[in-house]
Amino acid sequence: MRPAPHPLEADLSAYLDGELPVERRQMVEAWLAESDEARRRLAELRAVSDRLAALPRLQAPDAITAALARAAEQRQLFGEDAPARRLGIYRATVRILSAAAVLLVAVGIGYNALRPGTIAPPGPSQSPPLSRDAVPVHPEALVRSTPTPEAGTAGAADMPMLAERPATLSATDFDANEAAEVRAPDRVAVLDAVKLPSWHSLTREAGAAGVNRTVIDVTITPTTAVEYAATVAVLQDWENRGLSAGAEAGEPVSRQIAPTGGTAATAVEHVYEVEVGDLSYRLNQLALNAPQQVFVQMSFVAAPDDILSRVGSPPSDASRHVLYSIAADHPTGTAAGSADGMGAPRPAGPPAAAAAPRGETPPPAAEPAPAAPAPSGPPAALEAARDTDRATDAASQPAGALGAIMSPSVANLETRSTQRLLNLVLRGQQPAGADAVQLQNRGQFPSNRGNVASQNVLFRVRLLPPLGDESATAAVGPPAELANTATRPAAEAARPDTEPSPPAESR
Amino acid sequence: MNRPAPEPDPIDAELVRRAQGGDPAAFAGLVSRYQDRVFNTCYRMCHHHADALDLTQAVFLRVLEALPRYRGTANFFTWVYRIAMNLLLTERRRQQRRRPTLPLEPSPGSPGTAEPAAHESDGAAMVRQQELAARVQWALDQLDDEFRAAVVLKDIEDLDYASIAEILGVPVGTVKSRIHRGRVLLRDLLAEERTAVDAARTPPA
Repeated sequence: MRPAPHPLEADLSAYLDGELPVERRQMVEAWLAESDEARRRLAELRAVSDRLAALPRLQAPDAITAALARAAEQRQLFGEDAPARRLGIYRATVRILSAAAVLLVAVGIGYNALRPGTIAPPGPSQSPPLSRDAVPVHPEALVRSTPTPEAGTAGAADMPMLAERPATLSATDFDANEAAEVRAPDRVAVLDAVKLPSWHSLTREAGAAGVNRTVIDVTITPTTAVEYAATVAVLQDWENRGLSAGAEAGEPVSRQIAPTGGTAATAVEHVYEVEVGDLSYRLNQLALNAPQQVFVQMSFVAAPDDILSRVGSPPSDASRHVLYSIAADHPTGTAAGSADGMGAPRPAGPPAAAAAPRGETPPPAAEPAPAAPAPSGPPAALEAARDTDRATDAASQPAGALGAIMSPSVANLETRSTQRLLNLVLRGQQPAGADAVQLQNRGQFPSNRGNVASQNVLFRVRLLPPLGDESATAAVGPPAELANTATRPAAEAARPDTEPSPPAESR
Repeated sequence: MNRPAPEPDPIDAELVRRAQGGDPAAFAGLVSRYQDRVFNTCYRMCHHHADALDLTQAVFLRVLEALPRYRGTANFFTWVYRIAMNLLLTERRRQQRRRPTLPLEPSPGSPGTAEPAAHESDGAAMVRQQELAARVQWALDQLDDEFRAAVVLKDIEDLDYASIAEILGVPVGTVKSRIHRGRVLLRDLLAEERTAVDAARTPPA
């Protein structure tokens, strides 16, 4: 037991820091001169202080400067109070358009659900990992609901027209409305960059639910060439930092997604591996550069056995909706074959909704046709994601309970809704009492050891040319700098003659 | 004794003036000057890399919002730190209200973590240093926010008591006692942890 502290002991730290007045300092020095205990305590305090001072200094990523400079630029452009004002106007617009999206998508899905024979088969193997259903609906796309001929893939052609919609809603409407709500554009959440949900805790919860991989799809349609260039700078910075998926294996990590003609060729898709805990930060970086044009989707991947072991059968509504957000992983390597010709509802078209709002410009063929793939093929990460999509299709077949409850047409969710649905499923399946403790401790689910929360997630960024200003894209510089040399030929063929200037530095 | 308040940094003053005039590059300059310090402080306070990044970004966004109201009466850096501390402490209070979750992996440096063997190569010495740092950070994590903030600002950021008092919005005397109390707690925590490690490494008789 320590003796009662000396009256001057509380002054030792201030003495150490040179913060005592002269008189008090002299008193402490006198005490130190006469007491071994005082000297020992001072030495202990100094050791603690030195240990703290010796902690490594951490550096913030350079890109944070670029992102914040962009925020300052927007503030300067729109005035001191403009961000809030603009946000308010934008929120109102989004609310209106979101309501329209809910209605249109709900009716569309409900209609699709009633038309089992009209679902397009999965596309070719080069089909994009983003299904049509997965692409969030751009507000302008809602106005232009008729797909253009250029977007005429199987998936896009399957988009129901207004005139075809059923006059009344059916028994599937509840699901359809739920799904529509999930996929309604909710970019406000992304706009409000600082208030993004905590992805770390979110994905950790997902891990507890048996999810073992997360895919984040981000589609960016910059409004201006400046936004485009700023986003390129951010992506370039990420690549320089070695975030690119597959980079170590020398695989192509970036590719043109619209290789045929015109300035639309400047659209790229890039794949990164991002730490789960960094997701919010990465999204913020993108949102700050093009705050109105960032779409985020989130897919969870879990092994079918895990799903079944946790949900049981028959699933409740809550678990069912969560399963909608979980794409079954490739069960035994036969899923891809099973998916072909099975009439799986996941359309294989380009992100027509993302491309549609491009004014009079025809939407770019967001995915290269099989005849023009990247020379060395897409990155392994993309292939893996496609496998997942195919597996999702396979899982929709009546091969056991999983097939009966999976709905591959709703395999992706948007951010805020994802959290809501995850909470739903967790409430629906999480055991109570002692079992809940076991769940938290992962003792009940050994496979969670390698779950999403301890892995990097796949972060797929699709950058489209600026809206209505595609010529400016070339002036700013196409993101071909991001492309791996293995993917360069397709990009070179489509690149305009104009010599691009380098993208803006991130710092 | 208490040092006089530091003179305003002329570079800061110029950058602030230009940033208030709407120059984004000047604001970027301010960010560039202080982002590392703010990030480092955030990390030492919350001990979570991504959260620290988010907080750093939030701090500067808040600075951007409040910059028109900054009149230069306080040192700019102190003003930024005050914003940072307000955000940090608010965020930590919010986190404490959340449902607690268990870490997937044990925190490095938590009690019982084995230390490297006695025979050290350079690599082993590096590992040893890392573990020592991890233990210090672990002990720091155990402190209440008020003590942690005080010792972080003093021992890691090397600020004087007057600046810390201004940042935390408390009297200098309170800063003095918090720093001392925080160091004493850290000393005890590290001593206890060391004892636990030694006991764990002692082979059973």
